[in-house]
Amino acid sequence: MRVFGSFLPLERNLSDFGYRGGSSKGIYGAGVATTQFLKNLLRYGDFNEYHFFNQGRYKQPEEGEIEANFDLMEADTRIKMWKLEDFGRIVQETDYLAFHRPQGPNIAPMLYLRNQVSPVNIPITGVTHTISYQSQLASFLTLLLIGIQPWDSIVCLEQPAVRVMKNHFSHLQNCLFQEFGFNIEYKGRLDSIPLGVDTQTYRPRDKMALRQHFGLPLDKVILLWVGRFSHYDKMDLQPLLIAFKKALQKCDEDRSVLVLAGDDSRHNYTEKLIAYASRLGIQEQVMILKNRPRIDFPLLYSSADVFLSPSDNVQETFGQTVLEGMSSGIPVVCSDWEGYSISVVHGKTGFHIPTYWMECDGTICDHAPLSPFRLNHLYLSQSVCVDVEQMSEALFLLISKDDLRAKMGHQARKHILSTYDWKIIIRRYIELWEELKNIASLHSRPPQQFSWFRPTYFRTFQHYATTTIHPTTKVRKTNFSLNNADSGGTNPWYEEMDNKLQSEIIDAILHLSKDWTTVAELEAEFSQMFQTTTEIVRYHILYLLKYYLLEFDVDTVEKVAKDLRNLSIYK
Amino acid sequence: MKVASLYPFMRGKEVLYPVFYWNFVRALLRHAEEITEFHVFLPLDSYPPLRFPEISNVYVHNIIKLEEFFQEKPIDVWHDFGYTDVSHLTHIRRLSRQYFPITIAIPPWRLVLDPIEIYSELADYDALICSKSSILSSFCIADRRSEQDLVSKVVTIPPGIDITKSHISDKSDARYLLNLPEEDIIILCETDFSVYKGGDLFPLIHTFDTLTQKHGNIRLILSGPDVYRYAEQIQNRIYASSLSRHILLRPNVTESAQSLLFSAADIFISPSDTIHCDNQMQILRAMSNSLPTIATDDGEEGLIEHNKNGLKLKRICKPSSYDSLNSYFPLVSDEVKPLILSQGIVIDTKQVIEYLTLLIEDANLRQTLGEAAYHYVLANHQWSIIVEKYVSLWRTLCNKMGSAVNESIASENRERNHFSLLSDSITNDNFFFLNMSQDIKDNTVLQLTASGATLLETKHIISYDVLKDIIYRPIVFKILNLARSATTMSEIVNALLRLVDQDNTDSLVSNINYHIMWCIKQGLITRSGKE
Repeated sequence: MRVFGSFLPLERNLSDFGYRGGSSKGIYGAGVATTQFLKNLLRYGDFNEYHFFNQGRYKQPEEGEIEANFDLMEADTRIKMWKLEDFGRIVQETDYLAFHRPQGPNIAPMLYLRNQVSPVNIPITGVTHTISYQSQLASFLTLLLIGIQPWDSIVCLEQPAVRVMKNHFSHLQNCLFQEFGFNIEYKGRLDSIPLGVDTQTYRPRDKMALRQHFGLPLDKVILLWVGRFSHYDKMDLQPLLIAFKKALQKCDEDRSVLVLAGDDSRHNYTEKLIAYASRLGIQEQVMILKNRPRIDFPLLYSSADVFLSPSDNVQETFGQTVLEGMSSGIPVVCSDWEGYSISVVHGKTGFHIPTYWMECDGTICDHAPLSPFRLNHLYLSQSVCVDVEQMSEALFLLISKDDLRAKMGHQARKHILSTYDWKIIIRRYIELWEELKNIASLHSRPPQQFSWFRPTYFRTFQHYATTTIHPTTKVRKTNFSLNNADSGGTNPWYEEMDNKLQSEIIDAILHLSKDWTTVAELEAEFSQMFQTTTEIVRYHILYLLKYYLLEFDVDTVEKVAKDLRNLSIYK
Repeated sequence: MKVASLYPFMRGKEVLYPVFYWNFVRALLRHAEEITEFHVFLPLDSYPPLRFPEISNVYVHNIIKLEEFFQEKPIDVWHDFGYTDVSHLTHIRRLSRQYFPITIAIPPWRLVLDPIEIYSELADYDALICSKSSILSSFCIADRRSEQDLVSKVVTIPPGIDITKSHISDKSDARYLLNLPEEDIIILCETDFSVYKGGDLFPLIHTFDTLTQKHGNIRLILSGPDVYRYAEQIQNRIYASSLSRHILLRPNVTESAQSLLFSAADIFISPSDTIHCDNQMQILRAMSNSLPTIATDDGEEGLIEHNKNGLKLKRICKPSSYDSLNSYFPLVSDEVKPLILSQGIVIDTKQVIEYLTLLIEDANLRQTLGEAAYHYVLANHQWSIIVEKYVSLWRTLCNKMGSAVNESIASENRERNHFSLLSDSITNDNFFFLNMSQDIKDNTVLQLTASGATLLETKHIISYDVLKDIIYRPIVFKILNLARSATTMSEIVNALLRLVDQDNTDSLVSNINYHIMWCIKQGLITRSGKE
């Protein structure tokens, strides 16, 4: 039986387009990519079961909750939701092909948990989205130290991202060696699989009907940019306006409009763009559709003629929108920057516009840990040049040559269908997991280690308590417990405690501790009776002491508790 | 020709929302060369911050600049979309010190709320525009009762629609984008989520208890604005009936999603029980999307020609059941009046089931009715046709005004007759009952349904919160108990009367009738057919 595993907070973050609220507000590439990956894994994956371990959950999902979260019309019996606490048990019984974290590259907590409790080697993979935050260096350092194995992998979206990850690890390894003399290597793998695109959602449609629907001009070449309006961490659109103006000067001014569409709920960037377009005298040719509902985006792509994405920011890792544009059957003009340069085939499915940079980031790096990441990204991007002259030439070509647009658009769609359709991408993931699983099966399980990553709460904090209860400490049921039982059975606990407490164990302890009994005796008795660990029985005894359902014999603890009744005020 | 209009706001449960028909303005400027300018005046308290579509020759002003505007620019016509007090409109004309015709599009709900004397302020060269002839009929009744000559001011111009704009994708594409199943038969009901405005959706939900037993592949999508926040109560009703697989709730969908829903659907249904909102535009939109449509529509008139371009549902009422409400009806808030009226109106759920079954099972019939609907809209409701009617009316009124400019506005001196269309009483000859069947009689045999039997066991009435003061639960349970064995309406009434010690029982009889109608409406009891 093939089983896939993942760790996922069960939130309403998987439902996709359209109905609910439908706003594009707060849409982030990583969130969209995660949603799309999981939906398509369920659609194209060949697993018998998909296991999701819910972080931070203490209840099983209610009826219909899974379907609502995965936006499924029918119940999918392959999906199993488990509480995190179930992991130790389930992993013993299940032969997982792999665990994958689609939300990002930080798989350290999963590696830690696997290394602690899994009896076999299970591959764990994560995926890079943005990999330019200064704070990520700490989590990449953790990856070096946590016990990542040759059957684990960080999947990078394209080769340039592989190179970034290698640079990150190399930087950290050098620092560790130079400053501490440690020679620690990254033992995991760095693979490269791009994101996919839903080629049915993003596809050519009746342009004219859609233009009428959106109130867009019917007789002009529509250049479209779609994304989050943010000069901080997406791209600076002002040079694009300059290039557009230059392109218009070369042809008839009324031939084209530039449509900028996306979420502007954070930075009010569109005001700056409108002002800049007015300054350039092209305000009539620039249309801004801000904060449009999400369902509009695939339709907007289908209504356009050319897609633009002049990215200049290290925050931009891949360029999902570029794939969406090509999938919609329109050519793409994009900066020759990171993943864009690979997904867009220059001269065939669109044009790459050269970008230029040089080292001038000394003070930005010095201040990076204290400076907000958005500001770091803005400062860096303002030193990255996208060639305006060449961009205007590419725009001019595509505005003026209807045949070229049609040909490139057709080739773009074909390219996407053959390379980036989710069906193909999911297949590549499955092949990777199979390869990693093979590698894992060739190795014996590394010895279990109590990693530095594991907190030792009691040992670290035990001196906070007045005294420590010992296995020899005697406990017995209180009179309060008798009254408590009369007023409605087991003590009501917080619902989160469903993960930790069992009413059967509580009832049994109370039933058998009418007379003084040592903690050790109770532990031995009930761990056997309930086929559980002594630690769990002990946890129940402490809970009962906490709620004064049990009391302990003060003579059997090391240090007598501070008793107010010993104070002179009572004498 | 220069036209001006106000941009008014309506109050929802917690928000104000603007009511303005930009599509109308767009169509006017596109199809009528005569219309050179359209001026929109914003009220002083414009809220929230407004964004307007960019349309050439449309100019937006603040109402505070009105006098200044009129000093510089004469206008030819003032048109209102029906959300402004008539007195405000005539006040604007006085303020302008100019003569121009005022035309007012009268939405059906105004007939419920407006006292008739408000129209007496209008001049002879003004006009009331109704979207269907049944509204004209109601003015005829009002004229007979109030001895006013309103009918001469009433003109019928049907609503227009942009057919090309309705189709942005094909069925399969729309279903994919909306994550709807490819194979199932999708029935769309697009209406306001409000028992005040859009009608009671519970009876329609109830029919799916029956329909889904035979047809496992049907999905009903309830979609529309949820200004009154009723979607949650409807969702609870769906959960309680275990129908969540078959009934999907889509409140407050975006414009694109709404277009896609019409493309994705196989059947459209509009079982409106309220005159506040007759879903005329939604029906028109469905028809323009070639959807076979089942609707209460508007009696013999309206958009649907039964069995030709759609299927028309019967609405049943018993006028005497409202008698007990007459005494306090004038004191009831305007919002609640349509609700009280609608709760005594039964949509024939047997007929809903029959028609839906017919269309679910017969793809050819769906196609035939859908195509006929599309051609009907094409021939009668395209904007080019409708705009011509407006321009022609305005031309006529301007000519009429020319001969009257030297006279003072006649209505200003007219004696005001305090008589309303509806708000003082709900009598048998009221226009409200014009298009309804009255075939529930005292000897109609009634019988408990399975849903009614369940309710008697659980005692759990799932209803809208707002109805708790209108529908009295103990009476409902008594009625259901009595209907365990087939019994006539009058037998139920008499049995209930025997429980009370009261001399004058007229009002009580009416109230019991009202409750019986509500029980039938909600599918708790049904007419057994034996009389």
